[in-house]
Amino acid sequence: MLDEPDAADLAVARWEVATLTGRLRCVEDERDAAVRDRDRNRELVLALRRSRSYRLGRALAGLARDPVRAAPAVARQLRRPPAPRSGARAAAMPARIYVAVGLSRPGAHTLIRALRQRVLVEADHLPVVVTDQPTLRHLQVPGVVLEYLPDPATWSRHEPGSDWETLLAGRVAQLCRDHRAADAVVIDPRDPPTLARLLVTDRRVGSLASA
Amino acid sequence: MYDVAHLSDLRHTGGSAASLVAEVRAQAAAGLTTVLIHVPADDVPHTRPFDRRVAACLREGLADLAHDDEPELAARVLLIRRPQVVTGKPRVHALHTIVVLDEPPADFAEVRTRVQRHLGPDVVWAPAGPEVRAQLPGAVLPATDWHDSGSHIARLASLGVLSRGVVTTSSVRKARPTRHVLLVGDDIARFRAIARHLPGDLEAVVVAGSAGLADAHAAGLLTEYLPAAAELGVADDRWTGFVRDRLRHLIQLYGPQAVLVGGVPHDGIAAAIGEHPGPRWLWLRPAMWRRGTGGQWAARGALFAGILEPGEFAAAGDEGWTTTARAGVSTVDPITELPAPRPRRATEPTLLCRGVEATLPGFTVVEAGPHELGHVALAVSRAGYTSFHELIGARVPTVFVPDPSAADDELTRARFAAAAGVAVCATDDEAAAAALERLADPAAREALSRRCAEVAFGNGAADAAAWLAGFCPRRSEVEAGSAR
Repeated sequence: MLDEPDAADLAVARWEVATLTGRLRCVEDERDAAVRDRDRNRELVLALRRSRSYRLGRALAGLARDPVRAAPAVARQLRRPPAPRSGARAAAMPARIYVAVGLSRPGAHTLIRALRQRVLVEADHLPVVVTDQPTLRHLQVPGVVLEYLPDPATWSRHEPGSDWETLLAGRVAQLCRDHRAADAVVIDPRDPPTLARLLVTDRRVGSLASA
Repeated sequence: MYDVAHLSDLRHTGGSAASLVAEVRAQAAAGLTTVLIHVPADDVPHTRPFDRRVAACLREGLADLAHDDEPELAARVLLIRRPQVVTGKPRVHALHTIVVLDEPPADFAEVRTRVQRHLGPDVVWAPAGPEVRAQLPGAVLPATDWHDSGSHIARLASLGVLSRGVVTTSSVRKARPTRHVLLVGDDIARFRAIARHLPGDLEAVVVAGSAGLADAHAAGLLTEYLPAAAELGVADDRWTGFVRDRLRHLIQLYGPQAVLVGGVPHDGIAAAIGEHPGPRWLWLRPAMWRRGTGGQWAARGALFAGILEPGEFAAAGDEGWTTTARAGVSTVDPITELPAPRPRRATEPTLLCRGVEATLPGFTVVEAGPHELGHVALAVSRAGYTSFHELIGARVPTVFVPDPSAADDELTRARFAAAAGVAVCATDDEAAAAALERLADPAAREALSRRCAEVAFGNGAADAAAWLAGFCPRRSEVEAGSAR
C-alpha cells in the first residue's frame, strides 16, 4: 500500500514538473531555431539552383568533363569521407542542470563537492548547480558552475502574485540555453545524492529525487 | 545584518509566542528583516515542534531561522523572551538587547545575573505589563511597560530601526501594483543605500556577482546572479553574449522600468542596451578614477538616459576622466548607509580594520557595519568609496592606507582627507602602525573626530533614490502624460 504523499513530496514533484517544462521549452526553442535554419538554407539552395549563373556553370562543367574516363575517380571521391577541416573546434562538453533548492548551506556544499568528484571520475558533462544559497563564494569549486535562484519563500515575499514554479520553469529554460545543457534534474533536498548515487544514476534521464 | 533578532525557545506556546509572532508580522509588514534564534529549554520535550504560529511565520518567509552551525549573527535589536533559556553567550551581536518579560522567571535575580554576564550590563529588562511589574518588587525596570510603549514599529524606530515603508502584508501586497528597477553590478553598498529610500511600490532587484549577492540578499533585497567570465570558464567574447542573454531574461521576467548599472558598462551591458531599449538605462557612474585610466568608458555614456555620479568628499582632488565629462550628469552627496548623525559613544578601546590587518596594544579588533560605527574608537582602512565616506561621515578617527592597485584613486582620497585634517594617510604598513600608535592617545582621536564634524557632508542616498524613481513613472502618470 502506498503512503500518502506529504507536502514535501508534492513540492519536489512540482519542481520536477517545472524543470521538465523549462527543459521542454528550451528543446522547443532549439527545434524552432533548427527549422528556421533549415528553411533558410533550403531557400538559399533553391535560389542558387534557379540562378542563371549556376545553370550555365553546371552545363559548362558537364560538357568539359569526359564522363567515361572520369566516372570511377568521381565515384571513389564520393565514397571517401570528407577530410577534416583544419581548425575545427572540438565539441563543447554538454552541461547538465541540477536544481538544488531547499538544501542547507552544508547540504549544498556537500552536493557540489560530490558533483566535483563525479566529473573527476568521468568528465562527461559540466554540472550547473542551481542553488538558492546566496553565499556563492563559499560554495565555488573548480569544474562546477553555480547559478542562483531566489528560494520560494523569498520569491513569494517579493512577488506574491507569481508562482515560484513558473519562475523555475523559465529559469531552467534560460539556463539550458545559456549553458547548452542537454539535461536537467531536480535534487530532493531531503535526500541529496551521494557520489555513489550520482554515478549510479549517471545514465538515467530525469530526476534524482527518488533515486 | 538583520534588523531584529528574536531569541527564545520557539516551541513554547501561549502568550509569549503570540507576542513574538505579532512582532514578527509587524516587522515584515514594515519591511524589516527578522531572524529567529531557537534556544531549546531543558524543561521542554526534545521532540516538541515549534509553535504553529511561529512555524507559519517561517513558512511564509516573514523571518529566517538561524542555523545551528551559523557563525555569529548581527542584528540591530535583539529581543529575548523566556530569558531562562540563556545559559551561554548567544551567537548574535546586537546594538540593543532587550529582555521582554511576558512572565517573570521564578529565579529572576539569578537569571538576570546570568544574562548580564553573557550579554553585558546594558541589557534592558522590559516587563510586558503591570501584572509582570507587580511580580517583581524592587527590581530596576524601565518606567514604561513593553506593551504600553506605543506600536512595535514605533518602539523599534526609537532604537534607530526605521521602517522601510514596504507594506508586505500578503493580503495587501497582492493588490500592490509593483514596479521594478534592476540594479546591476557589484556596488552593493550604494544599491542598498538607494533601495532603502525608494518609494514603497518600486521594488529593487539587485543583479550582482558572487561577491555582492549574499550582502544584497542579507539586506532583504530580491537578488539575481550574474556570473563572471572566470566563474563560467568562458572567454570574454562568449561572456558578452551571456550577459546580454541573462539581462534579456531578467528584463522579460521583471519588466523593469529602469535598469541602473553600477561600475563600468562593459560590452555585455552595451549589447543588452542595444537589444532592449524599453527600460530606461541609467548609469551610476563612479568618480575619482586614477589619472589616465578609464577614459575608454566615456563614450558609453551616450547609451544611457541618465547618469548619476555619487559625491566624493575628496572631489577637489579628483583628476579622473569624469571631471571633464559632467555635462548632463546628475550629482548627489556621497551615498552611504549611515544613519542620521548621532553622538559618538566610543567608550571601549576598539579598533576597526577594513581591508588592512592591524593590531594596537590595549585595543580590541572589532567588525562594524555603518550603523555601529558610533561605537568604534579607532579605524584603519583602505580608502575605497564606501569605507572612506562611512568612516569620515561617522566621525571615526581613521588611518587610511590606500590600495595602489584599486581602480579608483585611493591615494588621492587618503591624502585629501589628511590635508583636510579629518584622517591620517599612511602609504605602507610601518607608517600605518606609527599612525595608529599616535592615535592611541584619546586627545588625538578627539581632534580628528571634531574636525570630521566640522566638515560634515550629507547623505545622497535619498536624493539618488528620488532621481531613480523619477525615471520610473507610475502607470497612471504615463497614461496621464500620453493623454496630454
